Amino acid sequence: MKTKKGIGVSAGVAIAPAVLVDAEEFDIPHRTVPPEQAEAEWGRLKQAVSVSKREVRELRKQTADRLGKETAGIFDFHLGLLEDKILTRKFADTVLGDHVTAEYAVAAVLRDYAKEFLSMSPYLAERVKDVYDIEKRLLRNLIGQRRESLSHLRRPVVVLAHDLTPSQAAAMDREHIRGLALDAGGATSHTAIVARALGIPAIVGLNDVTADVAGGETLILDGNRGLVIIDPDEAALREYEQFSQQQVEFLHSLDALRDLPAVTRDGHEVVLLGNIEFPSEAGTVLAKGGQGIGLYRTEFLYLGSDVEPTEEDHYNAYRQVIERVQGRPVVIRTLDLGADKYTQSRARVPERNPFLGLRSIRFCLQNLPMFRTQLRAILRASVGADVSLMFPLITTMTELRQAKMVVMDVREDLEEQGTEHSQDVPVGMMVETPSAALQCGDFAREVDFFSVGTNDLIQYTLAVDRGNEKVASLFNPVNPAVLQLIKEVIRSGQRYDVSVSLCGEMAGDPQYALLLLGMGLRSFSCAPAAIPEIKKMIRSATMEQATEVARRVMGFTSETEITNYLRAEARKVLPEAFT
Amino acid sequence: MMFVETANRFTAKIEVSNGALTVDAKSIMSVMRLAASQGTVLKIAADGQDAEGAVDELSALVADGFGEMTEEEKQALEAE
Repeated sequence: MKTKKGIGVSAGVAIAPAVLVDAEEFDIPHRTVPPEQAEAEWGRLKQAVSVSKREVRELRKQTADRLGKETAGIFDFHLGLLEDKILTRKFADTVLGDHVTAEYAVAAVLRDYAKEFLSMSPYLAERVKDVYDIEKRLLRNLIGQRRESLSHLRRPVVVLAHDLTPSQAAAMDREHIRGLALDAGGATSHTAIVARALGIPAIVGLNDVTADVAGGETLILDGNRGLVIIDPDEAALREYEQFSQQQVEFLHSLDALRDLPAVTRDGHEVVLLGNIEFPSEAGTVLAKGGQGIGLYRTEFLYLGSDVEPTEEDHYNAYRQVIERVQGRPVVIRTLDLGADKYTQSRARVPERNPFLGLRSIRFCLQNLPMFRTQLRAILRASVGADVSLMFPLITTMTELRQAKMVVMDVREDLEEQGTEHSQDVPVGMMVETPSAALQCGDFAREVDFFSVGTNDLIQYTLAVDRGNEKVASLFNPVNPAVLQLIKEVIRSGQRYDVSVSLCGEMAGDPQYALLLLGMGLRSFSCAPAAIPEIKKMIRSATMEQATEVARRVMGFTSETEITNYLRAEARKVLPEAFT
Repeated sequence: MMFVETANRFTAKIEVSNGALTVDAKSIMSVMRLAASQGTVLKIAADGQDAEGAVDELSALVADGFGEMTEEEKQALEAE
């Protein structure tokens, strides 16, 4: 038995065998695909070959520069293999003829060759190593390409990886993946957000957990305490099985709240909304008792595919969400890409400091055709629906005005073309930079609503990269400076009669619900899985209690005091949730 | 893998055989299956516009590459 400590980013307990995702040795199951999917698999394989070629050429060049042409010659052979027409035809025959995955075709064809070469001549033994090397490269590119490896599991597992890309995390099969443990990452990395959205326990920032696990061992994942127990003994297993049973019972008890309003014991109503990434989650929000969608992140339209989504792709996704929520409100956030693979891999020169670089609304304002495509789709999809649109990462007034101009422009175009669209889509902004929070009184006169994005607000206020495990512990929502900024936004909203919602991860943590309520927040938007617990918290407290908590907290000067105080208060109100 | 590279410079269809096995000369994987080491007698056949040039150049390459070949072995290389 071995215990490792990380950062618990999604609560709950999982007990299941470990599966290692990004190890160098790939175990490729023989898996067939439906005949109509074979063409797509072949496309993936061609793509992997072309990426691999590019990598090998680059390697050859680097090696030639560093060690000379002779040494670089070994890559000529690799390149030769990747350009080999007979080999390519064999890949195609296997994928298209046998209807198997690209991964399986690569492994099967290359391993057959390797076997033949080995049996023939000792001279070829060296070449066999090269063949395996190419196999690895292709598989790495195939598996890195996307998500499949995690979406076809057959039994419950806990997934271990060094890190996952957002699209890998997004494609996780929630039926079989019981938990997630990563070497990298902080509490608000995309993976953590997705894990919370799926409602599976997750721990990040474990540094080297992948080195301690070979795969197949039983693991206990304690998302509440951030613990991973490898090969647990009988006592630990018993303890956690019991605990996990209690958790299940508590969660079931929350189901009864689904159709009850989020109202405090003394009658103050709160709006409880859900954050989603995919249209399919809209149904989950309602099933969990949410009153609508407070944040629809649209990045996944881009991250899930290699080509830019068309206006129709956008339109169809938005219509799906709108139809699923049956008349309830939906806030669509415009593209919040940047500081990630999508924009960085397209940038000619990688940015030195991408989180302070061309991301989010800045990226949109410099890529107007792309931005306009999305806005057209939003205005068209909003006909007859309660849709608002929201700009992310507004830092200055000029940006907000520019973005609003583009909306007006797009609206005029639609008018001229006689295309059906909504005339009155409310326009709001995320408050997620200190500058926006400090100037929110001015902004309040130019927008219809605010939504506080705590993840970025904390990151920019405290100067902490939320995905960097070395400093992730400094990332804290209840830092007094952060709380002052949030307070400022809520106050401006009240003064200028602009509605304020909070859609960061903070909204979904029951520890903070009392405080936010007491600070005057009346609209929470969180991961669907967190809705019942937040509702329970709200329904268990009075506004008087909440106001008192907020008053006390504003008197503290460090996040440690505040954290301890809030935990104690939350436990008083809802002991079951804080065992 | 000069052999395969050279073969790929020609448009003609080129085959190479070690007697037991005949393969596409433009495919590294296939040529490796011949396991041609010293002393192997190779037969090169080409079909197409630049077939003659292809066979000449490839034969020369093999002869030169396996510089230790005997005259006899070199004579065994023939074009079709």
